[in-house]
Amino acid sequence: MAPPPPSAPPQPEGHPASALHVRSAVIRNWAVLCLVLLGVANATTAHADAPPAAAPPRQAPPESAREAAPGNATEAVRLLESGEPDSIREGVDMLVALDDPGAVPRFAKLLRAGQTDAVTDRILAALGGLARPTAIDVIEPFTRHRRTGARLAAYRALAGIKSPRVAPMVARGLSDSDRTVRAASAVALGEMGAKETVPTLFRAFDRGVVEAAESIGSLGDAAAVTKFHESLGTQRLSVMLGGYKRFLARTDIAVAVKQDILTRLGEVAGPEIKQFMLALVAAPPKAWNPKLARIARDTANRIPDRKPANTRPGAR
Amino acid sequence: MRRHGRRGWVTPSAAAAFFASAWVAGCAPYTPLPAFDPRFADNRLEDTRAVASSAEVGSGPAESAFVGTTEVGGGVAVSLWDLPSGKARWSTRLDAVTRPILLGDLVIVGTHSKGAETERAVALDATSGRERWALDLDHDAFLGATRSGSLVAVVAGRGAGGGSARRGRVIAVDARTGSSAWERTTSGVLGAPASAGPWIFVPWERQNIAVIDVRTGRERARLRSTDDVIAWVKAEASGIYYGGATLYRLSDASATGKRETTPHVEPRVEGVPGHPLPEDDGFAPPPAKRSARGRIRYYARPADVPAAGGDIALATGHFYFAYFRYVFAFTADGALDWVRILPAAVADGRVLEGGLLVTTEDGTARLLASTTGNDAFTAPLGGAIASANLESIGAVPTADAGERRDLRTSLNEVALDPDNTLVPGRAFAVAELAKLPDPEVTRDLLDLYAQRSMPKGVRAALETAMGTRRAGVEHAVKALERHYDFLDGTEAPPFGLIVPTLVTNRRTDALPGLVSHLFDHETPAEDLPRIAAAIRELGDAAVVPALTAFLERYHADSALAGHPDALGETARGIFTLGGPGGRTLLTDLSHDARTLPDVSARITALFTAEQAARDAEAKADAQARALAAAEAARRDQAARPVRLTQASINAVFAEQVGALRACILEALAKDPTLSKVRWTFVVEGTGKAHDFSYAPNSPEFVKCVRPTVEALTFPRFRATRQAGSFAIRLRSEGAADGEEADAPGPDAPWWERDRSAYAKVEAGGAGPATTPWWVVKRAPAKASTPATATEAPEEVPWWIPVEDDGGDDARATPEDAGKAP
Repeated sequence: MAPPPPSAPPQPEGHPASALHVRSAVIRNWAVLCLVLLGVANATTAHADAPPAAAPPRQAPPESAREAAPGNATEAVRLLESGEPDSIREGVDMLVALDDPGAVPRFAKLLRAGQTDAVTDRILAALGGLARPTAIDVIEPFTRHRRTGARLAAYRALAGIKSPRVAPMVARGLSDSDRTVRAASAVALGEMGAKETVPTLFRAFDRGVVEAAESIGSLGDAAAVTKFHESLGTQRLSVMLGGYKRFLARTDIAVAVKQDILTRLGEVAGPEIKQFMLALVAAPPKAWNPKLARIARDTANRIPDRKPANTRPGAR
Repeated sequence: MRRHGRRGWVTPSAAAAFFASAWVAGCAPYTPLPAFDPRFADNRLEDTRAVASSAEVGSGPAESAFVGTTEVGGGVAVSLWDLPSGKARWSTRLDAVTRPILLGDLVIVGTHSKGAETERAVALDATSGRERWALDLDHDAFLGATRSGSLVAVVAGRGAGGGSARRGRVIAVDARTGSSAWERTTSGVLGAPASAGPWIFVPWERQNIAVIDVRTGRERARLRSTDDVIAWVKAEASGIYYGGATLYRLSDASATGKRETTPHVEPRVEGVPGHPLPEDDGFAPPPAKRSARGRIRYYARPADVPAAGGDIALATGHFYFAYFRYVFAFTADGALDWVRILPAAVADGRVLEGGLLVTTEDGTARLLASTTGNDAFTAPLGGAIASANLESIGAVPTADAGERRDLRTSLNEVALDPDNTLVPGRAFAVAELAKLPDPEVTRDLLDLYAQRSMPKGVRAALETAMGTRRAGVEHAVKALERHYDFLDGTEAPPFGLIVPTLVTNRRTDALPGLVSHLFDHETPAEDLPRIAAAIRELGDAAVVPALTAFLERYHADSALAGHPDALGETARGIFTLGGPGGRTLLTDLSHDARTLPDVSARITALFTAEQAARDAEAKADAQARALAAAEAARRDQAARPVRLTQASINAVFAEQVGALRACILEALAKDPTLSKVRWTFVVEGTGKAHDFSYAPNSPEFVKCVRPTVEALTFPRFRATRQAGSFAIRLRSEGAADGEEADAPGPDAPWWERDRSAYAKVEAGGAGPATTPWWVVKRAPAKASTPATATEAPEEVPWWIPVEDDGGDDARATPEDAGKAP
């Protein structure tokens, strides 16, 4: 059996590092909670076609992972090496809870050996929860896994890692044949703040990845707004409004640009635009000013509430 | 039972039958029997020669008009068009069911009267289109007509397409009035006729041609093909031609009835769709309405001047294959020359001197230049046509046909033609494209395969064609660089097309690309087995890590649960190339409870199959060894003598004479009178001897010689056992008796030879070249008169007493052997 990984050195109480340690422990626990929930979601939704042997059992409550103590690292390793899917997952949770420095290579070894669907996804989620750059090379091959659930888990895991290497990898998901992967990739790029991927997001948007709209709205500059306008009339309005809403909420977009957005939307008009404007008036974004509020209000007022009734003779 | 009378057994009726049969059998120069008479002798050389020499066809058709049909409001109209103008001279609507035939000033067409349900042959005036006469055919279908002078021969019948009612009729009528001149009927099926000189040639039962004298209705000659089908007969300027898929020219050699001995040419290319013939099937004439028949055909015409040696040359040096809208031109040796896509399907065609004249269903007549395939003449016919008969056309004016188009480009155009009703023709174009040596063709095939709209039949042809490519395979390797990309809109390469080619051509430089696609989730799962197999075929131990990574990644994952062959082939690669380490890995995976059951089973099957192969090989080896041993034993047995000869026994003893000598000397020492030692024994077929008897059988002598003689091994022999004996005569009996000893043969042992030599010495002759061992030792005298060896004369054997002591003869006889001393 492999030796237990070294645990973090104890810090004296009141030491700044100790406070940081406590804070990071809280974050870690939340990560474990998210991880477990993600695992449940994956296991119950993404793998309906998995064979019975690979069927995920009921997930252990997050408290069980939270209760894992550093002294249980040996036990975690034993579980990882048990070969039993349930035990492996339990060991994964324990190592994540322990924030074990040796977790990534152990997980890499497990992934390399090949696991059942649920275990693979759990490990990928765990690597995402650990968010260590060393895990990038472990996760990246799984963005080409034949199972969509594994690819989704891999992209999500990558998206949580802070590294300049990650954005191009996640952007590659926009080229995936699976719609859900493309959508997840588009959303992840927006959340990551990967501004360099805006051109790719536009390509994806033009190819029908509607989730890219909001990411473009989150990441694009004034030029991107102009380009985004080109899709007005060709893309669904609800999709476009998602992107515009993000543009309007940003502080780094000039007022003139936002004014242009409102003006253009006013030209389109329609009940959906009216609702959008009214929502802006009712709950203005942070970066908002009276001029924009007035334009939004005027635009909303200018748009009739509903379509005029059909006045054609004989029409019911 | 009838008895023969005194007048003899040859009755008048029997004589008549004999002469009649002799007449039929060929004793008579000409047999005036009615046509289709079963007694008529076929393939008679003199008949064939007479017909061939008098069948004057003339210079061929020289009309400037042709006939055909158009569909008019559900009915059919017969028309006559003028060329080169293309204008219709007249058009007559009637219930035509067959394509019309232009016979001089007449147009003959078969009609069907729906009300009366009867068939007719209607003759129209070629000038006006008005009906001149009609021939009621009852329920027999009009099959064709030909004209010889003022007579028109109409052939009708039923049963050519099957059925129990089979009948054929040839009716000769006056061309002007339609009045019947004669009629012949047979119970067989007939085909469309042709005429030359006074002869009418009627295909009969798809095997015969009845040559009928148009003046009398009697059969003049009959040809029968013994190894081919006769589906049509045609009169051309250079002679009469007939056949099925092969064109035969009527000649004296036709009387042989054999393909090899009759001048022929077969315009045929492997793989053409639709089983086309070079002429329309005479037993089923083309219909008046649009039909696939006639649209799929070879068009070939013998040149007006035969080739050297009497072979058949093709006009324009080409033959043509029409497949609806596609026309492929082949040189006489079957090489594709050009391809043309026409706007509409070919209704009929005729090879003229400048090329192939075709009429297309859209109502256009065009001459496809034989050199380029381009239009050398076109004439609009004023509307769509349903059928046409161009046999009457002899020539059309031609214009410059322009430049020949690139064949590769033309074939690509055919393959890419969006008309999915012509898939077989497109597939044929793909096959022809693949025959071109240009390396770029390989890329063309890949590009064609990448077309999403490509129908399945063409794809299959592309896969087959790609497998034949040896040039330009680098394009297949390069194609592996392409991966599916949603944003770029690129698709995965056509693995079904590429991979077999890469393996066939042993392109190991494709391995990186193949491995890359193995790990690409966008690679279609159904392609993974062939990719993994190709990696195994092309790779070595260096690819094992990649295969291992793939198998480990998915062995327990549901991703490939529905495609276990992908992992099975991967496992096979590790099994084949991975060495002991790979086998250990596979064993572990097969025992891993998480491994997909199908994958585990495939891994287990690899080991099982190998063990089975090993067992089978061992069994085969054992069988081979057993066979070899049996064969060796058989040969050994065959090589053994039936019994041992005395010479072979002597030879065995001779090898041990050194060991025996001491014993013999010892025995002689004890008994100087001993004249012979002898052994008798039984030898088994295996060569082992036993049951020895000794003479002398003194215990000392027996004890001395037994280890030596009982250890002797004799050559094997076929008999189970035999008695054997061996004796050493210690004295020359003949010499002792004063007689000449028998001269030993060359196979005699040394002692016999030396004894003989010694006897010669005794007799004053020349002695042996070397002194035998017994010479050097003088025989001891009897106990009372001992003598030393040095006292003995050199030339006297030691056992022969030098001084006669007057004692009794102490020499033992053979009969003494075995007696106790």
